[in-house]
Amino acid sequence: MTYIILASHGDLAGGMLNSVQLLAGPQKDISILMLKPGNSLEVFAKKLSSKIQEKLQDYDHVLVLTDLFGGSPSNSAIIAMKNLSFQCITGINLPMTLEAVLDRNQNIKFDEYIQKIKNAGRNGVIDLNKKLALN
Amino acid sequence: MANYDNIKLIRVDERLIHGQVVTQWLNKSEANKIIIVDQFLSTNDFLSNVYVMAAPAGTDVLVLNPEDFMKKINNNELNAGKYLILFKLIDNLKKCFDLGFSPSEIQIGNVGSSDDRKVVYQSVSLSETEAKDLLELQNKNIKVYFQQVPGEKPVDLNEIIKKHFSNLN
Repeated sequence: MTYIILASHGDLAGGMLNSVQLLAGPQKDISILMLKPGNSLEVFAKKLSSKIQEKLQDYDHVLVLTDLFGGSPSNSAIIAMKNLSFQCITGINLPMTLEAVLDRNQNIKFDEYIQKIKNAGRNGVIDLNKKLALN
Repeated sequence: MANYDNIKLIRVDERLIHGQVVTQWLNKSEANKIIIVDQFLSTNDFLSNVYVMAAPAGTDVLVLNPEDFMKKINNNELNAGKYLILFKLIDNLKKCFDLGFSPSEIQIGNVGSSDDRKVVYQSVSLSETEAKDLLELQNKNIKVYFQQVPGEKPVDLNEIIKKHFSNLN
């Protein structure tokens, strides 16, 4: 079983979870961590690390989804990786998060699961105008 | 004389390379090189590497202690590229100032709270010592202003001092 943590600048993670549940119903084994103005990297990194550590005791994998490569939530994941073994993907969007939530109970290898999540994130970005022009 | 032409922005930001810097200030300043000036980080390879990795592709990151940074300044070694200089602590900025650092302006972006600091501007907290240090810089004609992201109106140090450290006026 995979535990998912959504980590973001401001309220994005909370909004993302809200939208995911609107589409996929109430979810367990998922939590959010939101960086507020004035929070330091150190404090946020500690919060993230202790959450991951706690969940690694009960779950096979922990997957952290962050909003922005180079941002503090993602930098905190880099810091946490020094001592903990977990997966992190940056650039969260709704298709990616839905895939992560819906596919984690399917009987697929973890590597394959991660690949599907990344694909869903990328494939969710579509130029609608171009698509309509082609059809 | 040290030449500051290639330094596009000097910012005090305790989170160093993070969302606001990567998405806003790097573009705005058009910098392609970042120097982090921090005594502690310069001795911690692991944490330094976190910031090196956090920078966008094509942006070089260097982590220096105040002495080594000032050597580069005084030897005019910052002559190729456009630089964004980041300080985690006003303490390290003051060390550079004491070693002759005299740019035209310094931006204060994020300084976290602690027992001896009070909130003075959005996510900036200052201790009295830090406020005094900034005043000392200003007295040497270095413009000190507070600004978190480019869209905001910068706030001058004098305004902050008047409001929160009127005893230093």
